[in-house]
Amino acid sequence: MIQIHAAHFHNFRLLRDVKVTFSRDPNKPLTVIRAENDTGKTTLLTGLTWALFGDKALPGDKRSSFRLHPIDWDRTQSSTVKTRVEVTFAAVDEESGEEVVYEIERSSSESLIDEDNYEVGPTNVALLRHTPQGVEPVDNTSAILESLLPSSLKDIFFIDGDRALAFIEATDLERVKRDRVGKAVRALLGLDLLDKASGHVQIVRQEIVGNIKKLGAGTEIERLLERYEKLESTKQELLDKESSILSDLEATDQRWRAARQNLDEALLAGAQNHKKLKYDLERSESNLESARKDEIEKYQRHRNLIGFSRMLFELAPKHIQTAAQILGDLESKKVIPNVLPTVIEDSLKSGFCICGTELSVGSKQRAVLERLHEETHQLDEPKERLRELNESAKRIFRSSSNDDSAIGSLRSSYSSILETKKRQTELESEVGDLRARIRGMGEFNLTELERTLAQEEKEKNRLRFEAGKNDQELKEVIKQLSSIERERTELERKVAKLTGERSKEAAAVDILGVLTATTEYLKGETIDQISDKMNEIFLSMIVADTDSGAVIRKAVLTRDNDIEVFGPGNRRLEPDTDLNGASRRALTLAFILALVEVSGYRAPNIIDTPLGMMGTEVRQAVVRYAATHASQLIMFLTGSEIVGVEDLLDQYAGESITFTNSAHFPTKLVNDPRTGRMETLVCRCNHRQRCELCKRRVGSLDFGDN
Amino acid sequence: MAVDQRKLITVMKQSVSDIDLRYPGYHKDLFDFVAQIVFLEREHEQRATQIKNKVGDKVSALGQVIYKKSKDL
Repeated sequence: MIQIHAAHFHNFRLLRDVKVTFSRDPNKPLTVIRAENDTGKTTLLTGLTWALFGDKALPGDKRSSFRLHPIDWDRTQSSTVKTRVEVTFAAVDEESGEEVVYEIERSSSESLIDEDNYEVGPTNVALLRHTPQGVEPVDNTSAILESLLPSSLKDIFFIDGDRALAFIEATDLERVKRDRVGKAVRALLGLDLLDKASGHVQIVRQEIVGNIKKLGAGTEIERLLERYEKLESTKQELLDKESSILSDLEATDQRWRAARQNLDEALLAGAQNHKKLKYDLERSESNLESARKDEIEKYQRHRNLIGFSRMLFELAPKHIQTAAQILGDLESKKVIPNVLPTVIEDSLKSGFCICGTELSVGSKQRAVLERLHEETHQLDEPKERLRELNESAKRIFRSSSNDDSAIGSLRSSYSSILETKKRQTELESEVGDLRARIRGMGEFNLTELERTLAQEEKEKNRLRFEAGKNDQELKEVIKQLSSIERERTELERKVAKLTGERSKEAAAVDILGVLTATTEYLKGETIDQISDKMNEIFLSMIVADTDSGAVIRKAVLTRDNDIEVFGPGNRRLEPDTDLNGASRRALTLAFILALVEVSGYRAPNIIDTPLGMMGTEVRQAVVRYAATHASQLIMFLTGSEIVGVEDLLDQYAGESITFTNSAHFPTKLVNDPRTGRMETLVCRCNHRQRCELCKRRVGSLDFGDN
Repeated sequence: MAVDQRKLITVMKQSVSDIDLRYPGYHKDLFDFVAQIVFLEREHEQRATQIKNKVGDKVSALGQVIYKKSKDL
C-alpha cells in the first residue's frame, strides 16, 4: 500500500510556498482541500503527479510545453526561477505493517528572457529513504518509483473529475473509449506486463523450434537409434541362443561319441568282417569330414572374391571411373579429408587461434570459433564417407593393374566348390552304404547301436544347422550394428542437442501456458468481478437520485472493455446521451473505485472536483462510498460541492485545509492577504470554517460559501 | 508491477498447478522461472535491458532442468 504523507511546493505556478499534510488515519482516510475555481486545485494535482511520475505527467506530456514558474514572477528580482516539489510518501506492507518512508524531490529551473519567453532547465530528481540510521539516497530512482507507483496508474489514482469522463464520453469513437477502458484495466491488473512476457517467450520458442528444425532429421535420428537398440537386443538374443545351441551341441556330441564308441567296440569285438567294416567306416567318415572342411574353406575364398573391389570395377567400370574422378577433384580442392575441425579443436584447446589471436573463455573470437567448430563438426560424417569412398576408388585402380581377371578367378573358384561338393556326395553315399551294411547284418545289438548313433548324428546336424543359421543372423546383425556404430557418436551428440532443444521448447510451452492462463483469468473472471463491483458502487451512488435511480437498472463492464448501462426491460442506455452529468460522473468514479478495489492495489485516490453537477443525495452516496473503500482519499472540493455533505466530511476527514488565491482580493476575498503577488495561500480552515484569510464576499459567485 | 503482487502470484500459482507435472517438484521450479521472467519484464519496463536474451536464458535454464531431471527419472 502506498500512502502520501505530505507535499511541499516551491514556485510551482500558483503554489509559491505551499505545504499540505494528508490524513493517514484509517478511520478518517479523507483529506479535504477546499478550493474554489482558480485557486490551485488542478495545479496541486499536476505538481503531485510531476513529482511522482516526472515530466511525462505534465500537460502536453513534455517539460518544454508547460510553464512551471509563477506567471507573475518579478523578473527584475531574479531572472531564474527554481521550482521544486517535495513529496513524502510511504510503502506499507499490509501484512507485516512494516513501513518504508521515502522522500522525493523533483526540481527544475526556468530562465526568464522577457515577458513571454523563457528557457527550460533540466529536471532533477532525488529519492531518499528513511532508515533507522537516518535518511539515505536511493539509487536507480526511476526504477524504484516505477515499481512503487507505476506510471500507467497515474490516470486511475490521480483523477481530474472532468478528464475522467473520458472513459465514457460521447465525443470519442467506441473503439477509442474501449481502448481507454481496456488500458486502465490492463494497467491495474498487470496484463500489459504479462502480454509482453508472453510475446518474448513466444519469440524464444520460435527460435527453439527453428533450432529443432535445423537439427532436422530428428525423427530420422530417433528411428536410427531405435533400430540400433533393436539390433542390440537381437544381437543379445542371438548370442544367448548361440550359447544354448553350443551347450546342446556339446551334450549331443558327447552322447554321439559314446554311441560311436559303443558301436566301434561292438564291431571290434565281432568277426573279421566286422572289424573291416569299422575301419572302412572310420576312413570314409574321415574323408567326408575333410571334404566338408574343404568346402567351407572354398566358400570362404569365394566370398572374398565376390567382395573384392576389382570385381566391382569389372562389373561397372564407367560408373567407378566417373565417381573416382569426382572424388579425386574433391581431394585436390582439399574438400576432403575434413581437417578443419582438428585445426579448430587445437586452437580452442591451446587458447590461441592459428592467426595468433587469444581465445579467452567468453570472448567473441572464441564464440565465433566454437560456432564454426559446431558447423564443421556437422560435416564430419558426410566428408568421412567421401574420404572412405576415395580410398576405395584408389584401391580399385591399384588392384585393376593386376592382369588376373577377377571374373575368371570367380569362375575357377566356383568350379572347385562344385568338385568338392561332388566328392562330398560320393563320400556321404559311401558312409551311408557302410552304415546300411551294419544295419543289414541282422545283429540286434549292432542295429540298435547304429540307430542310436544315427539319432545323435541327426540331432547334431540339426543343431549344427541351427548354429550356422544363428551365426549367419548374428554376423548380419553385427554388420548392421557396426555400420550404425560409426555414426553413433555423431548421432548421440545430435540427439543430446535435440533432446535439449525439445526440453527447452517444453519449458517455453509451459511458461506460455502459465502466462496465458493467468492473463485469461485476470481478463475474464477479474473483469467480471470489476463489472459486478462497478454495478454495486454505481447503483449505491445513484439510488438516491430520484430521476436516474428510477431509470438505471444495471451497469456492466464487458470483456470487450465496454461500459454499458441498462434501463428497465434490460434496454441498453447510452452513457453519454441517456445519462445526466451526475450519473456519468458517478459511473466513472464507480468504474475507477471498482477497478482499484478488485485489483487489490492500494494507493491514494486523489480526485479533483469529483462531485460537480451531482445532486446532494448522489454526492453524499459518492463521498460515503469513496471514504469507506479507499485506503487514502484526497478530494479537492469547491464550496458548492461541499454543500450537503458536511456531516460526512466531519465523519471521514482526518485533514482539512482551504486554498485561497491572493489575486481574488478584492473581487472575492473580504480581506487583502497583502502578499503583493498571485499565489495560493493555505489556512487550516475546514469545510465549515472561514478565517480572515479565506473569508469570501457574499455574492462572489462562489456557491456554498459560508 | 501494476497489479497487486499477491493477487498475481495467487493466479499464477493456480495456472502453474494446471500444467502437467514433468517431474516431482516441477511446479515449484516452473513458478520460480515464470516469476523471474515477470520480474525481468518489470525491470525492462523501468530501464531498457536485453530482455529477449534474458527471457531466452530463463527458458533455456528451465529446459535444462527438465532435461536433467527427466533423465534422472
